[in-house]
Amino acid sequence: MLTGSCYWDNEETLYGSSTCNTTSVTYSLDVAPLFNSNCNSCHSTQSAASLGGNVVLDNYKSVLIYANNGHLMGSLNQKQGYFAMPLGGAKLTACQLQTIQTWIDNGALYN
Amino acid sequence: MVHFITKSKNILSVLFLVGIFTTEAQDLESLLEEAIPDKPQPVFATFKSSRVINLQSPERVAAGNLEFRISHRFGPLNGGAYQLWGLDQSSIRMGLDYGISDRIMIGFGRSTYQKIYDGYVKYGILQQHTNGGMPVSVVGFSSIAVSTLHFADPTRVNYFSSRLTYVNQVVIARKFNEKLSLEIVPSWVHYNLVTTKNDQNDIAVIGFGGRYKLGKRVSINAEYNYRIQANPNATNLNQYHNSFSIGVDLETGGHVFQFQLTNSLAMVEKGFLTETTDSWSTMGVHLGFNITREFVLKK
Repeated sequence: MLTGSCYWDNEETLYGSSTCNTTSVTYSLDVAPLFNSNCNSCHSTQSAASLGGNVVLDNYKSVLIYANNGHLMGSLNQKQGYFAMPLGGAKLTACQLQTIQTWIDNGALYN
Repeated sequence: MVHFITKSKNILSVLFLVGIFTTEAQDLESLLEEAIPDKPQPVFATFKSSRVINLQSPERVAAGNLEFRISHRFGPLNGGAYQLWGLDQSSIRMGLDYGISDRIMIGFGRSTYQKIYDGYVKYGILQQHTNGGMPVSVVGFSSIAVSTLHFADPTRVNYFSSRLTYVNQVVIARKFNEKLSLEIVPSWVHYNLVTTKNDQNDIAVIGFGGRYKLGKRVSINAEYNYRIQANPNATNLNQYHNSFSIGVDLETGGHVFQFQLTNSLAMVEKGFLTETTDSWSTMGVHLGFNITREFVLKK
């Protein structure tokens, strides 16, 4: 039952594996939009206290704290000992994780 | 004259009593005949609820009945005192189950987990019988889950089919005695879209569930779902854990309360079978409960 619309797709084949461009990652153009679409429904300044464990991710200064102490990537990579994030959402794609990791590796600049 | 009337009354009383006892004796006899039959009788109430904990049981909502089910899981216990051991967080699924007939039940639900809407059909195939009859109950289950999260990359061409995941299961259950019931549940989970070429679109899962009654209204339940890994490099298996849950069922009239500890946050099939992010070894265990209320719509 219900298999009439079955597909056996994967994103690499469907969209190509070379779409992840991390050569010029910036906070404002690449990282902040990812937080806006995946995290800030709970982690905005307004809602963090009630929904996001007081972890704010809608401004550079706050993001930098969690980028530097390892909690950001620990949670996003859903490593043991960290809260798996996004809570109740799908894990960020490999390219999205790579984008944030590259930004951190490049010094987590406000650019 | 007075003596004659008294005697008649006594005779009538005796005849009346004999009549009652004869009728009662016949009724008991027929009841005993029904209670100790020589032909196989169907076995009912293998489990208290239509779910063992997360996993489907062979039970179905009776024909014409509508069941409202609220399932709730708190955050992980390893959140510590700051997160009040998970009580600060919650994930919920609200659902309605309806018995179309005694064999067929349909259900619909909405989860906070991935903002999933799910619909399913559950259908009785075989019924366990006593006295050398069918030794197990067999029930089929087919569901479709639609994730309504925003697409990860809205700039590319996205397809509605990418949101869909299917689960097909066969529940094979046996009530061994009044206390012990066990089931084995082979499942097939299909993802229309996975991330990498190494990921598995199809994941086979073998589930085990059971209950042991401690009293008329109380039982302890447990279930374990083992994912069968066809590709050792499949990241959509390597990054998740098998689901294990243990709980208590409390029955009170039209309600069944189920309390549990589980490493699965999701309550929808595709979530707890194949997307369990937490592990018992790190106390990534969620306290949770299911509450049901049944309404009779048709008699």
